[in-house]
Amino acid sequence: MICASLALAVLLNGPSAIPLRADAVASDTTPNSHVSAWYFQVAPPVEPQPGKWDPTRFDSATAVGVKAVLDSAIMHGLPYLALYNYALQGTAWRKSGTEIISKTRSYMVAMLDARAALGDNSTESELGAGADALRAGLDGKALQGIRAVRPTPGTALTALVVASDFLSRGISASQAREAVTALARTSKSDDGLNAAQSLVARNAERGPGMARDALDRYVKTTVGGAQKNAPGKPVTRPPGPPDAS
Amino acid sequence: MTDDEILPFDGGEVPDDPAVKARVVQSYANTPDVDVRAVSRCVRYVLERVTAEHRVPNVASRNSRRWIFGAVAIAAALLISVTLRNRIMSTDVDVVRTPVATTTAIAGGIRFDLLLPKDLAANVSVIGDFNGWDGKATPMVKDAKSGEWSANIALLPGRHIYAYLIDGKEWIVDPLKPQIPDAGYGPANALVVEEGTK
Repeated sequence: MICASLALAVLLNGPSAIPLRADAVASDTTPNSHVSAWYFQVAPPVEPQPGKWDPTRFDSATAVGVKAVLDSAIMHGLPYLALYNYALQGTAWRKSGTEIISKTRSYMVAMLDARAALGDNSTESELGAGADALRAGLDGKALQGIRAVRPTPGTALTALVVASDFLSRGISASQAREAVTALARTSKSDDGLNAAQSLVARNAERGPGMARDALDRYVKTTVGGAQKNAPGKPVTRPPGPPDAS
Repeated sequence: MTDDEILPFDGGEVPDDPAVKARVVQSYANTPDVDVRAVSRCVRYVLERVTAEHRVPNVASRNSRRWIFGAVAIAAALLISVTLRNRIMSTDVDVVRTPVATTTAIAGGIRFDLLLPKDLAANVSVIGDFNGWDGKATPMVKDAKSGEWSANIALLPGRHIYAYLIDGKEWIVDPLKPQIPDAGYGPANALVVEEGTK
Protein backbone atom coordinates (compact mmCIF):
# COMPACT_ATOMS: atom_id res chain seq x y z
CA MET A 1 0.00 0.00 0.00
CA ILE A 2 2.81 2.38 0.92
CA CYS A 3 4.70 1.54 -2.25
CA ALA A 4 1.58 2.10 -4.29
CA SER A 5 1.02 5.48 -2.66
CA LEU A 6 4.62 6.53 -3.30
CA ALA A 7 4.39 5.43 -6.91
CA LEU A 8 1.19 7.39 -7.34
CA ALA A 9 2.74 10.43 -5.71
CA VAL A 10 5.68 10.29 -8.09
CA LEU A 11 3.38 9.93 -11.05
CA LEU A 12 1.23 12.84 -10.00
CA ASN A 13 3.79 15.15 -8.48
CA GLY A 14 6.86 14.51 -10.56
CA PRO A 15 10.39 13.89 -9.39
CA SER A 16 10.15 16.48 -6.63
CA ALA A 17 8.43 13.88 -4.55
CA ILE A 18 11.67 11.96 -4.35
CA PRO A 19 14.42 13.28 -2.08
CA LEU A 20 17.55 13.65 -4.20
CA ARG A 21 20.09 16.04 -2.77
CA ALA A 22 19.26 18.12 0.27
CA ASP A 23 22.34 20.38 0.20
CA ALA A 24 21.43 21.69 -3.25
CA VAL A 25 18.44 23.49 -1.82
CA ALA A 26 20.38 25.87 0.32
CA SER A 27 22.88 26.67 -2.42
CA ASP A 28 20.22 27.55 -4.92
CA THR A 29 20.14 31.31 -4.82
CA THR A 30 19.90 32.30 -8.46
CA PRO A 31 16.67 34.17 -9.07
CA ASN A 32 15.48 32.22 -12.09
CA SER A 33 16.49 28.76 -11.09
CA HIS A 34 13.78 28.07 -8.56
CA VAL A 35 11.36 26.53 -11.03
CA SER A 36 13.85 24.07 -12.38
CA ALA A 37 15.09 23.48 -8.87
CA TRP A 38 11.62 22.52 -7.82
CA TYR A 39 11.59 19.78 -10.37
CA PHE A 40 15.01 18.35 -9.69
CA GLN A 41 15.90 19.01 -6.11
CA VAL A 42 14.92 17.74 -2.77
CA ALA A 43 11.72 18.21 -0.88
CA PRO A 44 12.92 17.80 2.70
CA PRO A 45 10.42 16.23 5.07
CA VAL A 46 9.21 19.48 6.57
CA GLU A 47 6.05 19.23 8.58
CA PRO A 48 3.41 21.84 7.81
CA GLN A 49 2.32 24.24 10.47
CA PRO A 50 0.89 22.32 13.42
CA GLY A 51 -2.84 22.15 13.55
CA LYS A 52 -3.28 23.21 9.96
CA TRP A 53 -2.62 20.18 7.84
CA ASP A 54 -5.63 17.91 7.78
CA PRO A 55 -5.15 14.91 5.51
CA THR A 56 -8.73 13.80 6.11
CA ARG A 57 -9.89 16.57 3.81
CA PHE A 58 -8.51 14.53 0.92
CA ASP A 59 -8.53 10.92 -0.06
CA SER A 60 -5.33 9.10 0.81
CA ALA A 61 -3.66 9.29 -2.62
CA THR A 62 -4.54 12.95 -3.04
CA ALA A 63 -3.30 13.73 0.45
CA VAL A 64 0.10 12.25 -0.40
CA GLY A 65 0.34 14.28 -3.59
CA VAL A 66 -0.79 17.53 -2.00
CA LYS A 67 1.55 17.01 0.92
CA ALA A 68 4.48 16.60 -1.47
CA VAL A 69 3.60 19.85 -3.22
CA LEU A 70 3.30 21.66 0.11
CA ASP A 71 6.64 20.31 1.25
CA SER A 72 8.22 21.63 -1.93
CA ALA A 73 6.60 25.00 -1.32
CA ILE A 74 7.90 25.19 2.22
CA MET A 75 11.33 24.21 0.98
CA HIS A 76 11.31 27.17 -1.40
CA GLY A 77 10.03 29.55 1.23
CA LEU A 78 6.60 29.95 -0.28
CA PRO A 79 3.53 30.55 1.86
CA TYR A 80 2.21 27.19 2.84
CA LEU A 81 -1.30 28.26 3.75
CA ALA A 82 -2.08 29.83 0.39
CA LEU A 83 -1.29 26.60 -1.42
CA TYR A 84 -3.04 24.46 1.15
CA ASN A 85 -6.15 26.59 0.85
CA TYR A 86 -5.95 26.32 -2.90
CA ALA A 87 -5.98 22.55 -2.62
CA LEU A 88 -8.90 22.73 -0.20
CA GLN A 89 -10.74 24.90 -2.66
CA GLY A 90 -10.45 22.03 -5.11
CA THR A 91 -12.03 19.65 -2.62
CA ALA A 92 -14.87 22.11 -2.05
CA TRP A 93 -15.48 22.06 -5.79
CA ARG A 94 -15.34 18.25 -5.63
CA LYS A 95 -12.56 18.04 -8.18
CA SER A 96 -10.62 14.86 -8.69
CA GLY A 97 -7.44 14.23 -6.79
CA THR A 98 -5.34 14.32 -9.93
CA GLU A 99 -6.75 17.70 -10.85
CA ILE A 100 -6.25 19.12 -7.37
CA ILE A 101 -2.61 18.07 -7.26
CA SER A 102 -1.94 19.30 -10.78
CA LYS A 103 -3.53 22.68 -10.19
CA THR A 104 -1.85 23.12 -6.84
CA ARG A 105 1.49 22.49 -8.49
CA SER A 106 0.69 25.01 -11.21
CA TYR A 107 -0.28 27.54 -8.58
CA MET A 108 2.98 26.95 -6.77
CA VAL A 109 4.97 27.57 -9.95
CA ALA A 110 2.97 30.76 -10.53
CA MET A 111 3.79 31.89 -7.00
CA LEU A 112 7.46 31.29 -7.61
CA ASP A 113 7.30 33.37 -10.75
CA ALA A 114 5.36 36.05 -8.92
CA ARG A 115 8.01 36.20 -6.22
CA ALA A 116 10.72 36.48 -8.83
CA ALA A 117 8.92 39.46 -10.33
CA LEU A 118 7.70 41.16 -7.16
CA GLY A 119 10.72 40.50 -4.99
CA ASP A 120 11.54 38.36 -2.02
CA ASN A 121 10.12 40.89 0.42
CA SER A 122 6.64 40.55 -0.98
CA THR A 123 3.90 39.62 1.41
CA GLU A 124 2.04 36.34 1.26
CA SER A 125 -1.05 38.05 -0.08
CA GLU A 126 0.96 39.81 -2.76
CA LEU A 127 2.43 36.53 -3.91
CA GLY A 128 -1.02 34.97 -4.11
CA ALA A 129 -2.43 37.94 -5.98
CA GLY A 130 0.62 38.01 -8.22
CA ALA A 131 0.17 34.35 -9.03
CA ASP A 132 -3.46 35.02 -9.89
CA ALA A 133 -2.42 37.92 -12.11
CA LEU A 134 0.09 35.74 -13.93
CA ARG A 135 -2.44 33.01 -14.48
CA ALA A 136 -4.93 35.60 -15.67
CA GLY A 137 -2.58 36.68 -18.42
CA LEU A 138 -0.18 39.33 -17.11
CA ASP A 139 3.52 38.72 -17.54
CA GLY A 140 6.41 39.15 -15.18
CA LYS A 141 7.29 42.59 -16.55
CA ALA A 142 3.83 43.84 -15.74
CA LEU A 143 4.25 42.68 -12.15
CA GLN A 144 7.63 44.36 -11.99
CA GLY A 145 6.03 47.56 -13.25
CA ILE A 146 3.41 47.43 -10.54
CA ARG A 147 6.08 46.78 -7.93
CA ALA A 148 8.09 49.72 -9.23
CA VAL A 149 5.25 52.14 -8.56
CA ARG A 150 4.34 50.47 -5.25
CA PRO A 151 7.74 49.46 -3.86
CA THR A 152 6.80 49.02 -0.22
CA PRO A 153 5.87 45.41 0.61
CA GLY A 154 2.12 45.02 0.91
CA THR A 155 1.21 48.17 -0.99
CA ALA A 156 0.91 46.45 -4.38
CA LEU A 157 -1.79 44.05 -3.22
CA THR A 158 -4.85 45.97 -4.38
CA ALA A 159 -3.22 46.80 -7.70
CA LEU A 160 -2.55 43.12 -8.34
CA VAL A 161 -6.07 42.09 -7.35
CA VAL A 162 -7.59 44.78 -9.57
CA ALA A 163 -5.35 43.78 -12.48
CA SER A 164 -6.51 40.17 -12.22
CA ASP A 165 -10.09 41.32 -12.07
CA PHE A 166 -9.66 43.44 -15.19
CA LEU A 167 -8.34 40.46 -17.10
CA SER A 168 -11.17 38.27 -15.85
CA ARG A 169 -13.62 40.75 -17.33
CA GLY A 170 -12.14 40.87 -20.81
CA ILE A 171 -9.68 43.74 -20.51
CA SER A 172 -6.53 43.06 -22.49
CA ALA A 173 -3.30 42.48 -20.63
CA SER A 174 -1.67 45.59 -22.06
CA GLN A 175 -4.57 47.87 -21.15
CA ALA A 176 -4.85 46.35 -17.68
CA ARG A 177 -1.12 46.81 -17.08
CA GLU A 178 -1.09 50.40 -18.24
CA ALA A 179 -4.25 51.33 -16.36
CA VAL A 180 -3.25 49.74 -13.08
CA THR A 181 0.27 51.12 -13.23
CA ALA A 182 -0.98 54.60 -14.01
CA LEU A 183 -3.60 54.57 -11.27
CA ALA A 184 -1.20 53.09 -8.71
CA ARG A 185 1.38 55.72 -9.58
CA THR A 186 -1.06 58.61 -9.34
CA SER A 187 -1.95 58.12 -5.71
CA LYS A 188 -0.71 56.17 -2.74
CA SER A 189 -4.30 55.41 -1.88
CA ASP A 190 -6.12 52.43 -3.34
CA ASP A 191 -9.33 54.41 -3.79
CA GLY A 192 -8.68 55.07 -7.46
CA LEU A 193 -7.97 51.42 -8.14
CA ASN A 194 -11.09 50.31 -6.30
CA ALA A 195 -13.21 52.88 -8.11
CA ALA A 196 -11.84 51.72 -11.46
CA GLN A 197 -12.58 48.10 -10.56
CA SER A 198 -16.14 48.94 -9.61
CA LEU A 199 -16.62 50.92 -12.81
CA VAL A 200 -15.25 48.14 -14.99
CA ALA A 201 -17.33 45.50 -13.21
CA ARG A 202 -20.53 47.45 -13.78
CA ASN A 203 -19.79 48.10 -17.43
CA ALA A 204 -18.59 44.56 -18.07
CA GLU A 205 -22.15 43.37 -17.56
CA ARG A 206 -22.93 45.04 -20.88
CA GLY A 207 -19.93 43.49 -22.61
CA PRO A 208 -16.14 43.63 -22.59
CA GLY A 209 -16.12 46.49 -25.05
CA MET A 210 -18.06 48.68 -22.65
CA ALA A 211 -15.66 47.74 -19.85
CA ARG A 212 -12.64 48.65 -21.97
CA ASP A 213 -14.12 51.99 -22.94
CA ALA A 214 -15.10 52.79 -19.36
CA LEU A 215 -11.63 51.98 -18.08
CA ASP A 216 -10.01 54.03 -20.81
CA ARG A 217 -12.17 57.05 -20.00
CA TYR A 218 -11.61 56.68 -16.27
CA VAL A 219 -7.84 56.50 -16.60
CA LYS A 220 -7.73 59.48 -18.93
CA THR A 221 -9.92 61.48 -16.58
CA THR A 222 -8.15 60.50 -13.39
CA VAL A 223 -4.56 60.41 -14.48
CA GLY A 224 -4.95 63.26 -16.96
CA GLY A 225 -6.66 65.36 -14.33
CA ALA A 226 -3.93 64.61 -11.84
CA GLN A 227 -1.26 65.64 -14.31
CA LYS A 228 -3.18 68.73 -15.24
CA ASN A 229 -3.47 69.83 -11.63
CA ALA A 230 0.10 68.90 -10.79
CA PRO A 231 2.52 71.75 -10.37
CA GLY A 232 4.09 72.64 -13.65
CA LYS A 233 7.69 72.14 -14.54
CA PRO A 234 9.70 75.20 -13.48
CA VAL A 235 11.08 77.35 -16.26
CA THR A 236 14.85 77.07 -16.17
CA ARG A 237 15.63 79.71 -18.76
CA PRO A 238 15.60 83.21 -17.29
CA PRO A 239 13.18 85.53 -18.94
CA GLY A 240 14.81 88.15 -21.12
CA PRO A 241 13.88 91.81 -21.39
CA PRO A 242 10.75 92.58 -23.44
CA ASP A 243 12.74 94.09 -26.23
CA ALA A 244 15.39 91.37 -26.34
CA SER A 245 14.09 89.96 -29.59
CA MET B 1 -89.50 34.90 -80.96
CA THR B 2 -90.34 38.61 -81.04
CA ASP B 3 -87.95 41.29 -79.83
CA ASP B 4 -90.04 41.91 -76.72
CA GLU B 5 -89.86 38.23 -75.82
CA ILE B 6 -86.08 38.25 -76.17
CA LEU B 7 -85.65 41.19 -73.86
CA PRO B 8 -85.72 40.14 -70.18
CA PHE B 9 -87.38 43.34 -68.93
CA ASP B 10 -90.71 44.99 -69.22
CA GLY B 11 -91.76 47.00 -72.19
CA GLY B 12 -91.56 50.28 -70.25
CA GLU B 13 -87.82 49.89 -69.96
CA VAL B 14 -87.24 49.19 -73.63
CA PRO B 15 -85.16 51.94 -75.26
CA ASP B 16 -87.11 54.21 -77.53
CA ASP B 17 -84.32 54.62 -80.05
CA PRO B 18 -84.79 51.84 -82.62
CA ALA B 19 -81.04 51.59 -83.22
CA VAL B 20 -80.30 51.14 -79.55
CA LYS B 21 -83.15 48.70 -79.13
CA ALA B 22 -81.85 46.70 -82.07
CA ARG B 23 -78.38 46.49 -80.49
CA VAL B 24 -79.79 45.42 -77.12
CA VAL B 25 -82.02 42.82 -78.72
CA GLN B 26 -79.06 41.59 -80.74
CA SER B 27 -76.88 41.22 -77.63
CA TYR B 28 -79.52 39.28 -75.75
CA ALA B 29 -80.26 37.15 -78.82
CA ASN B 30 -76.61 36.06 -78.88
CA THR B 31 -76.59 34.75 -75.30
CA PRO B 32 -76.00 31.01 -75.09
CA ASP B 33 -78.81 28.65 -74.32
CA VAL B 34 -79.39 27.69 -70.73
CA ASP B 35 -77.81 24.43 -69.74
CA VAL B 36 -80.43 22.38 -68.00
CA ARG B 37 -77.91 20.33 -66.08
CA ALA B 38 -76.24 23.44 -64.72
CA VAL B 39 -79.54 24.78 -63.60
CA SER B 40 -80.28 21.47 -61.95
CA ARG B 41 -76.98 21.54 -60.06
CA CYS B 42 -77.58 25.04 -58.80
CA VAL B 43 -81.08 24.23 -57.63
CA ARG B 44 -79.93 21.09 -55.87
CA TYR B 45 -77.13 22.97 -54.10
CA VAL B 46 -79.45 25.68 -52.90
CA LEU B 47 -81.95 23.18 -51.66
CA GLU B 48 -79.30 21.30 -49.72
CA ARG B 49 -78.10 24.49 -48.03
CA VAL B 50 -81.58 25.49 -47.09
CA THR B 51 -82.32 22.04 -45.74
CA ALA B 52 -79.11 21.95 -43.71
CA GLU B 53 -79.79 25.31 -42.07
CA HIS B 54 -83.16 24.19 -40.89
CA ARG B 55 -82.15 20.68 -39.88
CA VAL B 56 -82.19 19.95 -36.13
CA PRO B 57 -78.74 18.71 -35.10
CA ASN B 58 -78.61 15.36 -33.41
CA VAL B 59 -77.16 14.86 -29.91
CA ALA B 60 -73.89 13.35 -31.06
CA SER B 61 -72.90 16.21 -33.27
CA ARG B 62 -73.95 18.71 -30.60
CA ASN B 63 -71.72 16.97 -28.06
CA SER B 64 -68.80 16.82 -30.45
CA ARG B 65 -69.10 20.53 -31.11
CA ARG B 66 -69.15 21.22 -27.36
CA TRP B 67 -66.15 18.98 -26.94
CA ILE B 68 -64.24 20.99 -29.54
CA PHE B 69 -65.16 24.26 -27.86
CA GLY B 70 -64.12 22.82 -24.50
CA ALA B 71 -60.81 21.59 -25.83
CA VAL B 72 -60.08 24.96 -27.38
CA ALA B 73 -60.93 26.69 -24.12
CA ILE B 74 -58.72 24.35 -22.09
CA ALA B 75 -55.86 24.78 -24.53
CA ALA B 76 -56.17 28.55 -24.33
CA ALA B 77 -56.18 28.42 -20.53
CA LEU B 78 -53.09 26.19 -20.53
CA LEU B 79 -51.31 28.45 -22.97
CA ILE B 80 -51.99 31.53 -20.87
CA SER B 81 -50.97 29.85 -17.62
CA VAL B 82 -47.74 28.44 -19.07
CA THR B 83 -46.81 31.76 -20.61
CA LEU B 84 -47.38 33.62 -17.37
CA ARG B 85 -45.50 31.00 -15.39
CA ASN B 86 -42.52 31.18 -17.72
CA ARG B 87 -42.44 34.91 -17.34
CA ILE B 88 -42.45 34.65 -13.58
CA MET B 89 -39.78 31.95 -13.55
CA SER B 90 -37.54 33.87 -15.92
CA THR B 91 -37.72 36.82 -13.58
CA ASP B 92 -36.68 34.61 -10.69
CA VAL B 93 -33.73 33.21 -12.60
CA ASP B 94 -32.54 36.68 -13.46
CA VAL B 95 -32.64 37.64 -9.85
CA VAL B 96 -30.71 34.55 -8.88
CA ARG B 97 -28.08 35.31 -11.47
CA THR B 98 -27.57 38.76 -10.04
CA PRO B 99 -27.61 38.45 -6.28
CA VAL B 100 -27.11 41.55 -4.24
CA ALA B 101 -24.03 40.99 -2.14
CA THR B 102 -21.99 43.42 -0.11
CA THR B 103 -18.98 43.27 2.13
CA THR B 104 -18.55 45.92 4.77
CA ALA B 105 -15.70 46.54 7.15
CA ILE B 106 -17.00 46.51 10.69
CA ALA B 107 -15.40 46.55 14.10
CA GLY B 108 -13.80 43.17 14.49
CA GLY B 109 -13.88 42.01 10.91
CA ILE B 110 -15.92 41.97 7.75
CA ARG B 111 -19.66 41.71 7.39
CA PHE B 112 -20.90 39.66 4.45
CA ASP B 113 -24.44 40.35 3.27
CA LEU B 114 -26.30 38.48 0.57
CA LEU B 115 -29.83 39.19 -0.61
CA LEU B 116 -31.55 36.38 -2.49
CA PRO B 117 -35.11 35.98 -3.74
CA LYS B 118 -37.59 34.86 -1.12
CA ASP B 119 -37.51 31.16 -0.23
CA LEU B 120 -34.79 30.43 -2.74
CA ALA B 121 -32.36 29.00 -0.23
CA ALA B 122 -32.81 27.01 2.93
CA ASN B 123 -29.28 27.72 4.12
CA VAL B 124 -26.43 29.86 2.90
CA SER B 125 -22.83 29.92 4.01
CA VAL B 126 -19.65 31.80 3.21
CA ILE B 127 -16.76 29.65 2.18
CA GLY B 128 -13.23 30.76 1.63
CA ASP B 129 -9.64 30.45 2.62
CA PHE B 130 -10.46 31.84 6.05
CA ASN B 131 -12.45 28.73 6.97
CA GLY B 132 -10.65 26.10 4.92
CA TRP B 133 -13.37 26.11 2.27
CA ASP B 134 -15.64 24.27 4.67
CA GLY B 135 -19.28 24.73 3.74
CA LYS B 136 -20.43 24.12 7.28
CA ALA B 137 -17.95 26.36 9.04
CA THR B 138 -19.54 29.76 8.50
CA PRO B 139 -23.31 29.62 8.05
CA MET B 140 -25.05 32.88 7.30
CA VAL B 141 -28.00 34.03 9.36
CA LYS B 142 -31.20 35.10 7.66
CA ASP B 143 -32.93 38.24 8.77
CA ALA B 144 -36.62 37.40 9.13
CA LYS B 145 -37.75 40.87 8.16
CA SER B 146 -35.54 41.74 5.20
CA GLY B 147 -34.71 38.20 4.09
CA GLU B 148 -31.05 39.13 3.91
CA TRP B 149 -28.39 36.60 4.78
CA SER B 150 -25.42 37.91 6.73
CA ALA B 151 -22.32 36.78 8.57
CA ASN B 152 -19.62 38.59 10.46
CA ILE B 153 -16.17 37.11 10.08
CA ALA B 154 -12.95 38.22 11.72
CA LEU B 155 -10.32 38.43 9.00
CA LEU B 156 -6.67 39.25 9.13
CA PRO B 157 -5.38 42.00 6.85
CA GLY B 158 -4.49 40.75 3.41
CA ARG B 159 -6.16 39.02 0.50
CA HIS B 160 -8.93 36.50 1.02
CA ILE B 161 -10.71 34.33 -1.53
CA TYR B 162 -14.34 33.52 -0.92
CA ALA B 163 -17.70 32.58 -2.42
CA TYR B 164 -21.24 31.91 -1.27
CA LEU B 165 -22.61 28.39 -1.03
CA ILE B 166 -26.37 27.92 -1.45
CA ASP B 167 -27.88 24.82 0.13
CA GLY B 168 -24.50 23.14 0.10
CA LYS B 169 -24.37 22.71 -3.65
CA GLU B 170 -24.70 25.93 -5.63
CA TRP B 171 -21.92 28.49 -5.73
CA ILE B 172 -22.62 32.17 -6.11
CA VAL B 173 -20.08 34.95 -6.49
CA ASP B 174 -20.59 38.64 -6.22
CA PRO B 175 -20.52 39.85 -9.82
CA LEU B 176 -19.34 43.32 -8.91
CA LYS B 177 -16.55 42.46 -6.49
CA PRO B 178 -13.02 41.61 -7.67
CA GLN B 179 -12.85 38.15 -9.11
CA ILE B 180 -9.91 35.82 -9.40
CA PRO B 181 -9.18 34.08 -12.69
CA ASP B 182 -11.02 30.83 -13.12
CA ALA B 183 -8.13 28.41 -13.37
CA GLY B 184 -10.25 25.33 -13.48
CA TYR B 185 -11.98 25.16 -10.14
CA GLY B 186 -14.62 27.81 -10.65
CA PRO B 187 -15.30 31.48 -9.98
CA ALA B 188 -14.54 33.14 -6.68
CA ASN B 189 -14.19 36.62 -5.28
CA ALA B 190 -11.12 38.28 -3.85
CA LEU B 191 -11.36 40.55 -0.83
CA VAL B 192 -8.59 42.83 0.37
CA VAL B 193 -8.70 43.61 4.07
CA GLU B 194 -6.78 46.75 4.86
CA GLU B 195 -4.52 47.17 7.82
CA GLY B 196 -6.40 48.51 10.81
CA THR B 197 -9.71 47.04 9.73
CA LYS B 198 -9.72 44.52 12.46
